Amino acid sequence: MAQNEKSPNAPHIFGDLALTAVAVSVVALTYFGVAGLTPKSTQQIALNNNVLGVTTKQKVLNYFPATTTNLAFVSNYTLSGNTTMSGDASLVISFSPLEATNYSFTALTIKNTSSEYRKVQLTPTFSLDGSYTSIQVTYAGATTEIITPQGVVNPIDLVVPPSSATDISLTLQPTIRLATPVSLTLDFTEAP
Amino acid sequence: MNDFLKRFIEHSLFAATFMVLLKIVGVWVALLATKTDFALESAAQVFTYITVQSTQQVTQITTFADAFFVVALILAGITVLVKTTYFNDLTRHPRVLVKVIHYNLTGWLEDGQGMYPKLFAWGTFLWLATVLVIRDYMTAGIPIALPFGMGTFAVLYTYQVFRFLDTHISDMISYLYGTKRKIT
Repeated sequence: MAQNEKSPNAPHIFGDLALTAVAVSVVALTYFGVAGLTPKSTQQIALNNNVLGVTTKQKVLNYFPATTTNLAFVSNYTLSGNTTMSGDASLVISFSPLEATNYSFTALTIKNTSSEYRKVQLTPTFSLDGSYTSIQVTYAGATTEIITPQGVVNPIDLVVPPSSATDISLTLQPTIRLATPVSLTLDFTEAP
Repeated sequence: MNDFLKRFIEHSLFAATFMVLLKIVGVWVALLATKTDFALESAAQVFTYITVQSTQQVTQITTFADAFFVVALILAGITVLVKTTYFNDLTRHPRVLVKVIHYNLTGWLEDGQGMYPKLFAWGTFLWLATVLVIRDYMTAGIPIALPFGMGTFAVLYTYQVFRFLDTHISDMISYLYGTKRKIT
C-alpha cells in the first residue's frame, strides 16, 4: 500500500481549524435562516408548551409595586412572586392602627405584554376575622367590594387588556378604630 | 483531513441550500393554499420575516410548511443512504451490480472518496432539521407527529451510517489520514 501520509504542521492544523469553523458557520447560518422563515404573528405570542416535562410558558403578566408606597398608614408592603414562571403574584400590605375613616391608595400595576386578553383572579385575605372594614378594589374605572365589614370575602376576576398597564387601587373603610395592626393579602392567580 | 473537511463543507453547502429552499417553498405553498394574508416586516432594519394576523394562522402555515419540509428531507436522506451505503456494497451484492448495469444506473454509484463526508454532512443537517422542527413545535404549536417523525428518521439514519462505517472502518481511516487504498 502506497503511503502518502503527511505529518501535521502548524499551517495544516490552522487550515483544519479554519475549515471546521466554516463548517460550523454553515450549520449555524442554516439554523437561523430556516428558523427565520417560520411566520410570526403580528404581535407577541404567548403559548404554553410542555416538552418532556420542560415548560416553556412565557410570562406575560407583570406586577409592579405602586410608585407611592411610603404611606403613613402602611407599615409594610411586600410584593412577591412576580418573577416566577407562573405569572402569579402576591401582595401583602400591613397597616398601622387604622381609624374609622377612608383610606385610598394605589396598590399595584398589572402589565400585560401579550396580544391577548388575560384573566387574573384576585383573592383577598384579611388578617382580622370579621374584618370590621369594607375593602374595595378599583380597577379599570369599576369599583368592587372584595371584603365586607362582616368579613365576607368576594374574589374577583380582573380582565387585563392586551399590551396594557392598569393600576389597581384599594379603598379601606374601617367601621371602627382598628387598634391592632392588620394586614391584607391579595393573591393574583392567572386564570387559564 | 483537509480533503475530508473540504468535501464535508461542499456537501454541507448543498444540504443547507436545499433545506432553506424547502422551507421557502413550503411556506409559500402554505400561504397560497390557505389564502392567508401576510406581510413582510423587518426587525432592526436587518432581518425580514413573514407575519400573519393570528396565532392560528401561524400554526396552520407552519404545520403545512414543516410537513413538506420533513417529507422532503426524509426522501433526501433515504436517497443519500441508498446511494452511498447500498450501492457501494456492490461487491457484496453481485445481483445488485447486475441490475445497476442492466438499468443503466451506473451514474448512481458514489465516488468512494466522497461518501463519508456526504454521509456525515447529511447526518448533521438531518439532526439540525430535527432541532428546527422541535423549535417550531414549541413556538408555533405544530403537531408532535412532525418532530417525532423527523427525530425518528434522524436516529435511523445515524444508526444506518454507523452500521455502514462499522463494516468499512479500515477504509475510512485510510481515507481520513490520506493513505491511498490499493484497489483490487
